[in-house]
Amino acid sequence: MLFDKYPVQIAGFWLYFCLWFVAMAVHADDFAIVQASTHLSGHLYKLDTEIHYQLSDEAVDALHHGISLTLVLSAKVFKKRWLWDENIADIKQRYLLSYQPLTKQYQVKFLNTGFIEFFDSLSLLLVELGIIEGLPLLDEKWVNDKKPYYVELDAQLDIEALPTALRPLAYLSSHWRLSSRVFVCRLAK
Amino acid sequence: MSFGKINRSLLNSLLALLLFAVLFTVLLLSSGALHSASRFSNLFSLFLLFSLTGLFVLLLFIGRRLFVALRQMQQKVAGARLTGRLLFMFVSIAVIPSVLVFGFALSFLFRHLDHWFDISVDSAFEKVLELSRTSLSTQSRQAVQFTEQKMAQLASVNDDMLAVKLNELRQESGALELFITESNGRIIAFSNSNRDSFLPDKRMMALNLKHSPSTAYVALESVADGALNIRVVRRYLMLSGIKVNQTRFFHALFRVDEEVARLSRDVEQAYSTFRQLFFLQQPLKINFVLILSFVLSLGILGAVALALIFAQFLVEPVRLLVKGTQALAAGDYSQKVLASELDEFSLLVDSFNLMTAKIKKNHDDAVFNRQVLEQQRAYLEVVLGQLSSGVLSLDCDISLRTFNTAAEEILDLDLPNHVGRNFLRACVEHSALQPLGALLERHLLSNDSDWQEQLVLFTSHGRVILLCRGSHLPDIIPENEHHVPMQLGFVIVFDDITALVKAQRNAAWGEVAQRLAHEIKNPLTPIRLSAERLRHKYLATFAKSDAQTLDRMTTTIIVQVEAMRDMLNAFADYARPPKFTLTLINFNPLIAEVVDLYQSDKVKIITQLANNLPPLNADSGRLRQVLHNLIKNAIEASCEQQRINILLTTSFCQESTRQFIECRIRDKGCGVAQEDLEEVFEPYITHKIKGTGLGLAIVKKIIEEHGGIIWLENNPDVGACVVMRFPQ
Repeated sequence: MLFDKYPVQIAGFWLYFCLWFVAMAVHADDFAIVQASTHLSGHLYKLDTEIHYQLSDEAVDALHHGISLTLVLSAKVFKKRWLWDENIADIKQRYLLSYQPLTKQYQVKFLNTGFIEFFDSLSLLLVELGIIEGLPLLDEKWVNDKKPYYVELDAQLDIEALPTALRPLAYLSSHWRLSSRVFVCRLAK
Repeated sequence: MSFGKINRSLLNSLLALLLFAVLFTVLLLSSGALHSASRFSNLFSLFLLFSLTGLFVLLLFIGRRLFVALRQMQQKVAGARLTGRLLFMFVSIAVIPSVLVFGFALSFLFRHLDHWFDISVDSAFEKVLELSRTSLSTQSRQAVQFTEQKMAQLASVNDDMLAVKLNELRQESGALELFITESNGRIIAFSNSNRDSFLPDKRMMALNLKHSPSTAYVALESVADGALNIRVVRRYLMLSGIKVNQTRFFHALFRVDEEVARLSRDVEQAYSTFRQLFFLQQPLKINFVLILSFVLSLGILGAVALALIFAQFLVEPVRLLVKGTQALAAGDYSQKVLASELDEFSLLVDSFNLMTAKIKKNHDDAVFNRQVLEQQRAYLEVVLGQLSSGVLSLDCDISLRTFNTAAEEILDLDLPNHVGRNFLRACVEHSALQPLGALLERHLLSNDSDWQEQLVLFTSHGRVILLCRGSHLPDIIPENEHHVPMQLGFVIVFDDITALVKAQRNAAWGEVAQRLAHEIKNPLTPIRLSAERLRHKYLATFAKSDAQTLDRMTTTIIVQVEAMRDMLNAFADYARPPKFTLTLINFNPLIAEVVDLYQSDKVKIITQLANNLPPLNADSGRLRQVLHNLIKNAIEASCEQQRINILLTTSFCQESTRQFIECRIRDKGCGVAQEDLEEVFEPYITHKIKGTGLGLAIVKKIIEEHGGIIWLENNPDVGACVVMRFPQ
């Protein structure tokens, strides 16, 4: 039997397939984090960043067809260590984008706060969404001055938030795997 | 198959069935998850991944079993073809309807469903939405009119009073917000119904910067709480005399009527839902196809798995039976086949087990009997081994079957090498056993049931006299249906009676000789004395002629009496117990020494003596006597010839099992009649006028005392030849 003879090879092939599937799911370069920096404001470290969101035609088409899109901005603060770095803060900002056909406006809902904003154009919305100033990251007391810290940023379209029927296709199509490369910046005062 | 293997197989099957059930459930949940309302919709991707993995595992399991089944079919393992047929049947039953249903489902999904929904719902929704917009545009126009009116009222108001005036106008009109800005965005005046807000919304500021229309800018705006607003922006016209640095804009924000807004929102919601469904139609189909494919694969794989499991349960008893039969054929009678009581094969299996048990019992009995027989045979062998008599058993085609040690020693033959071979051929191959072969051939081929005969062999041990007895073993009539008698063959028993015969003969002849010598010798002395007395008394007194007669007669009497005395002395010599002094002697010099005594002008003895004669363990005096007797006999046999030629040869003979020294004395006399050849060595057998008949008897006696053999044979041309053989 083939599996009896090559169990490791077959298991390896299956693992490779799964990894390829996952890699295909996350690999894309449609969003770009242009710049990011941190500053200490009071006792809070805050993040300033500029992100360039560019939706694919398929995503825009889906938006115009009433599909809500969820964008996720992930910020992780790491403390450098010898072997692996310690994750001391993990912040996710989630934005729900939708289209209002009656008013022909674009709505963005900040899922973390529930705040809603409307825009007449998608580009304006994306520009506004891409400019973040003073996003609280972590309290100053969690940061030890003697250790180096850094922040990893990435933005992506949340496929799991798409309608159920769309998810398998979204996982397999590069038009739907919208994400940025990981941007790393130093945690500075 | 062992219990462990069955249990493992059953466990594998149960695991496969469990996986099948789990996959089926997961696919059901996946199908349900496609509805947005399902609580499992968040797990849809995981379900699909799990289904894919599960199908792969199931495929591996079934693939492995299929591979094994295929290999068993190639190897023609028992039950493999039945498995193949079951597989074909199950898969056919499963695949045909499944594929049909799958095909119809796809056709329905891609053709008929589209056809059913291929109506102008989309445009209808568009029109309804447009209707809503139109309805809202009426309110917008009113808002514009109002704005223009109020703006006219403000045209003559100074900047200092603008805020107060705006507030009055807003309260009067019910507007949410009224304010005036410059083109650079600077707010000149502001009035808001919301007391918490002191600034207009920044979207409006952005609009203000972009739009500087000569006509009014009207926009419908969504509000976070679901309400609708109408925003109007109009260039603010100043009265002449009032100087301003930049162009000014008048902003007004009105709340749409709640009922209109709600209805419009409902229409928008319905439109959005429809558009969403329309958009998701294709992905939904693909998902349904995916799930249907999974279900189809699961169905087919399940059918194959079930076929394999059923085939295993059906074929297993057959395999067990075949295995049991093979074990039985291989001699393993302890094999027992286990079957479930619910199994239809249990009756067959029980019968098989019963048969196996009976065969095992018979086999055990046979083994026991064989062991008993072996013990008896071993006992018999020991008994036979202890016997001094040689025992041979031959089968009906005269092949040697068994023998004992005594037989091997007496015949001086390596009998183990001849077991199973024709014994007569073995006798022919070994010249010393040829008389035995001739004897056996005569009696066995003539089917003598019981016979007894004496036989003389000359083996490496010398001359051996055997008393052979033979019997035809009784035939066995087997208890089978044919009742054909089975011939067991023959048994030959022989005893080495050489010593016995020799002793008897010696004793007999000794006694005869002693008596004869005693009886005859007694009157000889008186006869001789009487003759001498007659001669002494009357020889002088008789007339000359009578005296001569008396002299001749008494002389004859005295000579004959002396001759008789010599004969009696010879008898005495024959009867005298041998006094051997055995030493290692060289035979050739002894011969030469004796021969020299007889060499003369008339007698010519030619010797051809072998150089390789080994020393002979013998009594030299006795051997000299033998040679004297034989040479004298040869000369006497040739006495009629003017010149006597005698050839004396010696040789060392080596045969397969024996070695001996052979001496031949060949004369050119008249030879011996064929019928007398056997008797010449018997006492009182003589063909000479003056012979006592004891010379050759004494020679034979001496030769036999040396373990040798002697016989007389006629030469091919003329004369006779005495042959002596001494064992080495």
